[in-house]
Amino acid sequence: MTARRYIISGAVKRYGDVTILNGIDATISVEGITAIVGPSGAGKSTLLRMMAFLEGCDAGSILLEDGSVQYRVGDAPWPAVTCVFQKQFLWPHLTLRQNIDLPMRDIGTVDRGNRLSALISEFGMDSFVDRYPNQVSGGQAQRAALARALGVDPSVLLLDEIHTGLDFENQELVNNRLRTLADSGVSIVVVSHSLNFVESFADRIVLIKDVQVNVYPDGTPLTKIPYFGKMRGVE
Amino acid sequence: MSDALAVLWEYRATFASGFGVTISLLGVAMVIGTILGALLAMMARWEPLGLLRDLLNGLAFVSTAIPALVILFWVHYPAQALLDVRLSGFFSATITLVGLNALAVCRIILDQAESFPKQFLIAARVSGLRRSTILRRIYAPILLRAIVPRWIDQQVFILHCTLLASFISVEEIFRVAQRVNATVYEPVTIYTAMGLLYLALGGSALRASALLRRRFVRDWSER
Repeated sequence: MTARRYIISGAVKRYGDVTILNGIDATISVEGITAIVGPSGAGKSTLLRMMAFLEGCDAGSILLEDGSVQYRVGDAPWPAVTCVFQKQFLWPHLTLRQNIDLPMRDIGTVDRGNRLSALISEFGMDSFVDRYPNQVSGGQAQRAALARALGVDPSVLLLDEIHTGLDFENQELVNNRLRTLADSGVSIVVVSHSLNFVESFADRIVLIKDVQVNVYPDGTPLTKIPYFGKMRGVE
Repeated sequence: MSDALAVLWEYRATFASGFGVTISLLGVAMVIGTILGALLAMMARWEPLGLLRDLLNGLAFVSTAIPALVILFWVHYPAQALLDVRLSGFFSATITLVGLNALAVCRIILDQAESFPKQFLIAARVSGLRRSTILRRIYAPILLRAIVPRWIDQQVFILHCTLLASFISVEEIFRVAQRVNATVYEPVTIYTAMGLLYLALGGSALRASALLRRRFVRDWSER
């Protein structure tokens, strides 16, 4: 598996008077599944957007090292690095089918028709794929957004609270799919509030809290991470 | 109603001529005003200092605050005297309506472009869409859907403004009706007839607008 990691050097990020990141230095290996956790408003989604190179730092830098290739802000590494947002951002004038198909069509995906059918079938979207985004439930839109991202064969898939709106069955479906993807070499980075997901599927945990980022070594049990320890009453 | 139709039929050639002038004014103002407005909006979006946008905002403010009739009179009389040119009433009316429509269309496009939901463009970028595809398949269709309803209302407003050209002796439908009335002195019949003509014209515009709305505007409200 190719070494793939984000290198964050002295990163500062502010929104007005609010500091999100304060001079962060961190190296985040993103092989397998990486979970970004932390309290609401800590800056998890901001960090994810920076990892997608949609936002730069106010000071310092963030780069993605993928073997011998390096990406920085301005390099536009999409769709090799792609993102599924918390609110999906499906294009409202296109049906879900068109939403999934358009990126594949534009990048010239080989055997597009079959890929599209496979994605629709895999995520159980046959009954609603020809509806518009506002005509489906949050969970259905979430599955379509994930299918849209998978259609472009990313190397790094950044997911912001992907479990929002998904029922247990579909959470299981998505989690298993993410595991399969990760095993096939796709780097998955997930901002998540799902304790079950973090515990059962994440290979490593990145905690963002109090304007600091802590990267825990692979396999660190949750009980050894103060944030989770406190939640479970473990000192 | 039958009297009105009878008058319309008797003076059909005169009414047809006035109707033609009204349609010409509307058509020119609509087509050139829309194209000019769209070009101005694009230039204002691309001009980095925002000077053109400020200028257009200022002009749009002035043109909205001052009644169209005052602007029309100003273009037809003092402006021509100041510039030492002689223009026909039709040309003055055309310039005025094109200008008003261009400024309004420009404002509509700029407003919608400024409030465009950027998240759809971000989703397009991370999905790897090319710039041309983003423009053609994401930006333009979403923007167009937001613009169309206000653009239609603006064109109906311009249709009503064509009536003002009668004040500078342009032989459009309202002035024709006044002249016919001066001959036969049947105001109820004449103005009913004129109302019917406007109904036909405005009704067609509204019908077209309904079709456009159905074609371009869909309820995107989240459930």
